[in-house]
Amino acid sequence: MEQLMQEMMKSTKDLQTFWENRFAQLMEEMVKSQNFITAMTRSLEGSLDLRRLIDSAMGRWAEFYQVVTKKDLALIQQQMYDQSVRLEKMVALLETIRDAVCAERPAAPTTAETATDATADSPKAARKAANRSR
Amino acid sequence: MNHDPWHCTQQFIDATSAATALAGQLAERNLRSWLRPAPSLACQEPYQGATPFEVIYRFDRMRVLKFQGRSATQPAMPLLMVPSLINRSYVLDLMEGSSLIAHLVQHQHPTYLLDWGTPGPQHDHLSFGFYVDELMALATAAVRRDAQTEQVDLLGYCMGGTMALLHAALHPQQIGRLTLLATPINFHDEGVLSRWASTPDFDVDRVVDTLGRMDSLMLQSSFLFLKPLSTYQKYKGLYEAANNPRFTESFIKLERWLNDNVSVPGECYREYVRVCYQENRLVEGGLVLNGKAVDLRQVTGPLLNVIALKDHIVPPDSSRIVARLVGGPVREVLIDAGHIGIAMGSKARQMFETVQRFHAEGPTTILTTDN
Repeated sequence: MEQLMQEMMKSTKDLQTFWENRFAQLMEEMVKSQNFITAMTRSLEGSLDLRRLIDSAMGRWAEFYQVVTKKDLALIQQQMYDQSVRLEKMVALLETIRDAVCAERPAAPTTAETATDATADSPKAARKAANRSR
Repeated sequence: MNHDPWHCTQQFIDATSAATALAGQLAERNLRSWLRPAPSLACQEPYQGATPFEVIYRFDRMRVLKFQGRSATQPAMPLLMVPSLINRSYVLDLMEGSSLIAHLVQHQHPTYLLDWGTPGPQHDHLSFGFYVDELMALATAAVRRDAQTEQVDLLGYCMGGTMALLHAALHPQQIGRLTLLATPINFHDEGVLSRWASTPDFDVDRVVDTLGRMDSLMLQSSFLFLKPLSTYQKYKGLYEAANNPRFTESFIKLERWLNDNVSVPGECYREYVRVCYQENRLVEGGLVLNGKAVDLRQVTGPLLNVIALKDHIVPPDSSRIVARLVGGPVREVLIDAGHIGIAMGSKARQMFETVQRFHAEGPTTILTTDN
């Protein structure tokens, strides 16, 4: 009896899996068919037409009441984005030039020399030198 | 397999209770997110990956994430990963310890990821060529500056692979090695997406002119239609394996990523569909992006093409053709997995190791041509 039940359960599960897979294959073939594609594009066109109708009505309303629309704001944002791209490119170019100039510079001076130069170049040292000359 | 009725009943009860608990958790989480005031889109962190990172470059919504500094013992070329524009970038970093990024980080490889961010209406006028030529150039320049190298390796997944290949063709001197994961190259194949997009019934201009962009919900629903019964089969699988915490964790993470699509900017979508799906310019030739002619033969660096044999989005033949188009040596790796299984899960481990070894070979090694 137990053996029979086990066999029954196994065959039921196998049958279920078989039909599921068969049905899945059938559905996958269906979505590739020209009929399905045509139906899908038609339903998309219907939705797009509705959306266009709503958009044009909103556009007329905004024009009549002189209201700024999302599209106007998006256009300004797009112009700002384009400007920021130009600036970013300039930054990248300047960084490349800076790196090239740094690479061409002679080797860095020793620590003692750097300290002396730094003192000499500092505003305080410059003021002292100016006082002395006066 | 044990078919003892008592054992089966017990398994059924276990699975039911585990599935009920999981459903409860999901419902609670959804209810919480519904009751809590949602933060604005710009404030949300789009990256939900598992590996810690630092942002080395940011321009508008685009970011370059760095996962690993250069190792002193293993100097390797930095690798920049380029994800698709329609999905979030964290697919390569979904599971802690078992993702491509985690694998590369374990091997001390300097790894970077390009995160496109969430596009807004200010990006609707940007063309596909602009993304490939200019935005990617900003990202690769940031990586080269950070890693202090002349070149950078690229890895692209799905649409990101197409973009990486085109960028390498436009800037060959800056790109070292290139890896393509499940990348569509020949768009006139037997795939369902190709059939849908290349049919004359599909008017891309009408979609873009009306909507301004390709909405993420439309993309999501069209992906669900590719395999109409997959949702049922997926949840059946979840039910059967609901008492396996590792499986449920990966299921939730993958579902979160699958439902986290982003809208594609209008002009970018228009150009992508037109030049790739409708005119198949990558194969037919004569592709002009951002005012520049693209010649794939300019890609002379070593190329690793990882193909998923059970891919229903990018059929194997669609990617395989790249070997005939580029100017450099191509190594092909076939993985018995689907489009997502190639990037995460147990079958992707082979890919992790292959990619890591390929990019660790360095810029000077000559690759054996397998094509």
